[in-house]
Amino acid sequence: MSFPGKILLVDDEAHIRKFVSLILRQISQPVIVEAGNGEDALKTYQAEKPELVLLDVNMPRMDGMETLRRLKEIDPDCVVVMLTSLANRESVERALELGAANYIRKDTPKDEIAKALTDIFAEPGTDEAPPSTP
Amino acid sequence: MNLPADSATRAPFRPRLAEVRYSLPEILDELKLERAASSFAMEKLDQQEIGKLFKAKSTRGKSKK
Repeated sequence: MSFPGKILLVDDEAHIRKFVSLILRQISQPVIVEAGNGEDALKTYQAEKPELVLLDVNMPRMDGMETLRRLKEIDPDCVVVMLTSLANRESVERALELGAANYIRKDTPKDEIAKALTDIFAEPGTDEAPPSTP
Repeated sequence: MNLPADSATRAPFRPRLAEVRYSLPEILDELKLERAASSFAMEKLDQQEIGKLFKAKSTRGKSKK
């Protein structure tokens, strides 16, 4: 499976969206659509049908867990990766239960974030490494 | 000090052991509650541990197919 061509980036902080966009552009040249909260994310998901959703947990109006639950209701096959600074066991296990594909801490080095994302779409048995950063 | 005669001759107290049974759903509910409320739930996981949890899940998912 190749890396997604369209990605929905959901975070209430614009600078985080920009930072993650830069990481994604290191991996490939996807079309990136953005949302600043869970409600907008659901609308954007339905309108844009991205192949990957990167989702923050702490957001105003609708948090990431509720957004994940609703996204899975809309499309059980949607691939959602939580990208958050909240990393307690309870929220990790909750995301796992709700069907997230992975859970990445925001303080993870950017090369490792890129690797965690490419691993989701790598063919089984291959060990695709993301391009290294200077 | 001398003990009263009857207490010296009485057999030592042995608590009666009784079988205690809990139903599995009860235990699992209790476990779930404890996991959610305790410091265990609040434990911060590093990225490696998180990766292991998700990898275990995807391996289980594949083996089910």
